[in-house]
Amino acid sequence: MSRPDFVPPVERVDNSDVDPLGTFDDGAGPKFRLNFEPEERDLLIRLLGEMKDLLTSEATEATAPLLHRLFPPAFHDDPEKEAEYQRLMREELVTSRVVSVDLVTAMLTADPDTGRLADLSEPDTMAFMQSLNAVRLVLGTMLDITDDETAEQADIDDAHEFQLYGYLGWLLEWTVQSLSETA
Amino acid sequence: MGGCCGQNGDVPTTLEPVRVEEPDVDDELANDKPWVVIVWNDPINLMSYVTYVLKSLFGYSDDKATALMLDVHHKGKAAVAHGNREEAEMHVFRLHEHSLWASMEHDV
Repeated sequence: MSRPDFVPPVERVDNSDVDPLGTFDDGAGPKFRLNFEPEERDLLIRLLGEMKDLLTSEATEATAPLLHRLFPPAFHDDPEKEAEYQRLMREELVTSRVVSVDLVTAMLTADPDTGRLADLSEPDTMAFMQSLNAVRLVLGTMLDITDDETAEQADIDDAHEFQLYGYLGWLLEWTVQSLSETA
Repeated sequence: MGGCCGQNGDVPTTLEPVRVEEPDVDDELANDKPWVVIVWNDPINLMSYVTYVLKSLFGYSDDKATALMLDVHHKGKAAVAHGNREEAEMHVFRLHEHSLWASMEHDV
């Protein structure tokens, strides 16, 4: 696992004093507000779309390791039970992930009248966290982050993909902390 | 630790065959020993995220979830839940939904 000592790699405009994920309570439980710039929303929506394509397409040589990480084996030393698990659960897992991606994509789509995003409930925010984590996992796997050494290297590499990986980690950390504080 | 098992007066002095009651279950159930759900270390998932997922899926306290997360991090894996096969499969499924590297095996 990696430690959350990220520096925000993406310059934020006009909201330096606003949390990326603001929390408040409207009397009916915790609510969460995504204070994202349009470019951030577009970026996240694009990444979610790419993950949905990955989830719903046949594995190729390039995507097999990514799918393996998204759908890891449940039984390491029992091929028969593993085949059964994949047969029974794989489709359900794909569906669950796709439903979550669609939900989060809608959350990131601004109201055409107000230009704002709707405030989120706690379950919405958990879905956001789950999908954000899955996107980061896919990117990290593509970047060959396979051990603590490569993970540390990823924190200091400033190539675009590594900056994106750092940004997703930073945002995920915000999300986890916001959810933990309201729990 | 003190002794645990029986007293001298209880030790059988003969080896007569004893009739044993077999539990009335089919083979599949009889073989369904308790299962243990394992989470494996991986270099991508954030430590805070793993802790949060363990708390929210299993209702563990902050202390317990953090201790399990640190076990995963330092020892490479940790047993996070136990149950029969069906329960363990559901736990693994939900951990997979949250992208944790989880598997299950017979508890030995």
